[in-house]
Amino acid sequence: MTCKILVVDDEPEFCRLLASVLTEMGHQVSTASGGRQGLAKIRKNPPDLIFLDIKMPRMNGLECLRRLRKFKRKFVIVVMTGFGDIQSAREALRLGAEEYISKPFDLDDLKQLVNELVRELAGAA
Amino acid sequence: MRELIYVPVIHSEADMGSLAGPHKKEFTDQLGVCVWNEHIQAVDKMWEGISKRLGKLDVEHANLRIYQDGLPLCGRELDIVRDVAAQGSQNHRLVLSLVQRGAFLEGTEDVQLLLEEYHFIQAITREHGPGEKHRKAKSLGNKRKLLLRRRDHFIAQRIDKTLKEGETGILFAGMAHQVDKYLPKDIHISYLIFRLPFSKLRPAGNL
Repeated sequence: MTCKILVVDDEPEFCRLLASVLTEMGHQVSTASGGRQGLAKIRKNPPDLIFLDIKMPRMNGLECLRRLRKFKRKFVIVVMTGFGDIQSAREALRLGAEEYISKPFDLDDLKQLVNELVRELAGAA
Repeated sequence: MRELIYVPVIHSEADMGSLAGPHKKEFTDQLGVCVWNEHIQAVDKMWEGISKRLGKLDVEHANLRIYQDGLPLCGRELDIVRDVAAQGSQNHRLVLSLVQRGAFLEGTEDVQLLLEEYHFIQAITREHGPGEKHRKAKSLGNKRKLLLRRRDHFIAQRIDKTLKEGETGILFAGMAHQVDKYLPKDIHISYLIFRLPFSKLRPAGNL
C-alpha cells in the first residue's frame, strides 16, 4: 500500500533525509518546515500518516497536535523528538499521538515502524 | 554531580505478577487474540530498543544504581527481580543483566504504598464486565492519583538518599509516574526513550 506521508520538521536536512527514505519505500512524501506550514498542507492535501517534530520555532509539534484534534478527520501521527522527556511524551499521549519516537533513530527501526503503521492503515481502510 | 537516566516505560503483563492472568483474559475477551499478540509484540520491541540504547551508554556498571517502580524496599529485591524475570518480564530481565554486570539494585518503593495500589487494582479486576470495571476505576480515580503521587515522592526521596556523588542512577518507571517532579535540583536528569507505541498499548489499559 502506498501512503501519503507528511514530514513536519524545522531541520531541512532531516526532512530531506526522512523524505528520501520514505519515498524509497514507495510512499508519496511531502515536507513542511514548521507547524503552521504543516497544518496548511494537511488542510490542502490530507496525508495518511504524519511525522511531527516536537521542538520547532513559532508553532511546536504539541501545539500542532492540539490543533489537529479539532479536525474532523483523524490522522495517524508519529511524534518525534531529539530531546525526549516524559512531560512531552505524556502530553503527546494525551493528545492522541500513535507513537512517540526519539531522534536519532536507526533506519531499520524507522522502516519497521512505517511498515507496521501502513499495515494498520490498510487494515482499517 | 549525580546523574539519573529516567526510562519511561509501558509495563507488560509479565511485570504484573498475579494480576497478569485476569488482565490477559479480560483483554482477549474484549479485543481478541490478534490484538493481544500485537500488543505483546509492541511491548517486546519497546524493550529491545531500550536495551539497545542502554547498551550504547558509556557508563561504568560499578557506578550504576538501578531503581525500579514496583520494587519494594524489603531486603529481597534481587530475589523479586529474578522471579519476575523468570516469568518473562523483559523489564526485569534487563535489570537483572545490569546487576550481573556490576550495577547495584536498590529497593525503590514503600511496601505499604504498593499494597494499597495492589488493593486498588484488585478492587477493579474483581468487578464483572467492562462497564462495572470502568465505573469502579473512575470512582477510585482521585484516590489512585493521590497514591501515585505519594509513591513518586517516596521514590524520589529514595533516590536522593542512596545516589551518591559521581554515580549514575537508572530509573525504570511507568508512564503515569512523575518522579522527576520531586527530585532535588542537584540530580541531573536525562531521559532515555526509544519508542513509546501508544496506539498498540492504549487498548490494554497499560497507559
